[in-house]
Amino acid sequence: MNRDADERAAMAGLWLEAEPAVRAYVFAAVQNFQDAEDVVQQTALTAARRFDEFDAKRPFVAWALWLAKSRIIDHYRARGRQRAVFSETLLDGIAEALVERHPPRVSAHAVALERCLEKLPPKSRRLLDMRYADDASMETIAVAIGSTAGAVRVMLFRIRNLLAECVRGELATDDRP
Amino acid sequence: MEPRSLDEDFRQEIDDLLDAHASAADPTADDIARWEALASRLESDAAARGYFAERALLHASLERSLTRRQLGQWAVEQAHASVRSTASVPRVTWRWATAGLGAVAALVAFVLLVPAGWGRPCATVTRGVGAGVPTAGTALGHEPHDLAAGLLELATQRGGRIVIEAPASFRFESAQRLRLFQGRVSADIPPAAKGFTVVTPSGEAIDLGTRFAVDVPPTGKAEVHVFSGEVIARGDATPARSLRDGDAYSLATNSARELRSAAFISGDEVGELAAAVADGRERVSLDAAARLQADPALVAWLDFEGRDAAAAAGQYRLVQGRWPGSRAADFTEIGDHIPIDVGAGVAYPQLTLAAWVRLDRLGAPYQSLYHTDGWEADNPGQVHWMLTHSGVMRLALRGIQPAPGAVKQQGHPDSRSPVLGEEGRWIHLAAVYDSEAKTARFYVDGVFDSETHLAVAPPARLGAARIGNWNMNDRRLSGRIDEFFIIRRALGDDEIRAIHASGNPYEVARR
Repeated sequence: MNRDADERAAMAGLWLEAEPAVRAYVFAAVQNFQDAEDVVQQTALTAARRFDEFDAKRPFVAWALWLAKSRIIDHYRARGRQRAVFSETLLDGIAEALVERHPPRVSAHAVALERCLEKLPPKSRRLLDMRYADDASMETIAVAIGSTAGAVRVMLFRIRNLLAECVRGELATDDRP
Repeated sequence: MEPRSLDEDFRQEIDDLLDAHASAADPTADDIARWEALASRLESDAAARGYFAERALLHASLERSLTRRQLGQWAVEQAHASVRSTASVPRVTWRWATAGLGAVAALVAFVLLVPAGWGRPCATVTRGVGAGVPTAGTALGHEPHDLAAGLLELATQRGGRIVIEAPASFRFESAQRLRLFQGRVSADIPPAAKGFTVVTPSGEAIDLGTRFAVDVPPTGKAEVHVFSGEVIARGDATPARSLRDGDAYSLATNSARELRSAAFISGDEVGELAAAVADGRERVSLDAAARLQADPALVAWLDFEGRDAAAAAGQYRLVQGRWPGSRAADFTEIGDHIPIDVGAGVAYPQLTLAAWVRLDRLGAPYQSLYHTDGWEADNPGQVHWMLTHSGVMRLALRGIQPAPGAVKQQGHPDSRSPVLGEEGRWIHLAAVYDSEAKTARFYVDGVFDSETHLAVAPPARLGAARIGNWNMNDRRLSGRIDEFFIIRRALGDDEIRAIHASGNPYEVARR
């Protein structure tokens, strides 16, 4: 098709890969849920508008995080009285750590995560569904499964540890010749 | 590389902060202090930063993996909805449009943002009743909504069925969490949506698979009513407690309440109400009400609308009536009542009392519709109109005596049929007294029910009286009243049938 359409498709693909890192970044730096959603949206818009400035030799995720950082700073500036919890230096440090940890092949990582989720016992899977699909609070989950919020916190912590371990294993296996 | 050097408490704290973030709209002061402590640790500790980045990425990846299925469903709903109504485009796209962005940029952004989960709808409107109310197919995200008039029926992502009645102000915090600032909500929650929570200014109700309702009046003092199943109610300052079938509870005062099923509109009722409004029946009702008000025989008329709304002094709540945006009086507390003083010193040979009501079945002996303050033997003809504990309508007049073999209980004329169903609905009640024909006649929903013949029938007398609570004890009222009137004529079968037919808020099967 035309160049615009190609560019849009390229941009959409790159954004999909970088988006978890951008969300991780923005949600860490902006503590109000609605505001964080707004900042992620603003970042996507900026990336779409300024895509011709992106240097394809550099990782897209680094560029996206750099744009997100400006949007985060704008957000706090617009609020005035509301102080940013993360300093600019810390924002740089976290962006750097995210770029470092960002999986080189996002799709392989997603497949590995999918496989690991399938291996979980149903009860663990249900806990994750309540937490992520429903955005339920620890207290709500506790009531639904007849437990305490403290126990739910620890269970989720352990399930995530297992998942992280499992994904690492899956990707290592995947890398074998 | 491995964050073994980081203690488990610190790693747990990171998860806790990221979790708290997703389930609460605003961080508390305590949350902010914890984030600040985290930030100061991250500033100085590169290993901590690395672990934090890894964990935040895992959270974001899980969020994407576990919400994908629902995004797919949403996309399908959007595709359907956009064919029907332009209002179904998520609010955010309007924001882009008004920001002056080009259509291409907006399209790119839309394509990009759908997978990002922005505006992921928490619920979809299945029916909207009233002008300006979102129409079927509209997706509701996290944005706040004010419903000034009408009704909204919603399906949540997980199949919960929710009805919200105006005036209401609400916002979905997630597909499973509805924040209700004001309004009345009834919910029918299937097992798949167990855990659905309604958050109010005075606490929250967590559903465990059931039918329940929440009432948040303008004061914010919320009540939870459970029709079936189990709900956990947690007041802001009180421990959680379990409510079951038939329980009602005030989150604000931490005390039990009487179940008020009539206070809430159920999903089944919405369809009938919507059809009548769509049919233009509200106009028909207003015209008929205007004709009645012009009747020279009218003694009293209360519809709580317009200028006269303030005239009806008393202790009650002004809530929505039978039509979107119309008004009715709601009696919720034991002492609630409206004083009404008409016709003092006049003897009425004939009298008709009628009203649209939406009442609860109470354990209490009487629901008091209209009671003259006095009931003295030397002032025969004083009127007490009520429903008894068995749900029949009673028209008691001081000094009357039923004829031998007449329909009566405890010496008073009663309707033959109970007038209240198990669940509250709008019904039309009328009682006609005729001292010359020596009869008391009863009508339910425009249909003649029964007639009590009287041996002694003095003319009726009114004067100072009350609608609603009469003596703070066994005469009470729980529910709504609309278009209450007294007329000094004995209305006939046809007239009463016509009054019901023109004011009926439910769809009528057409021939």
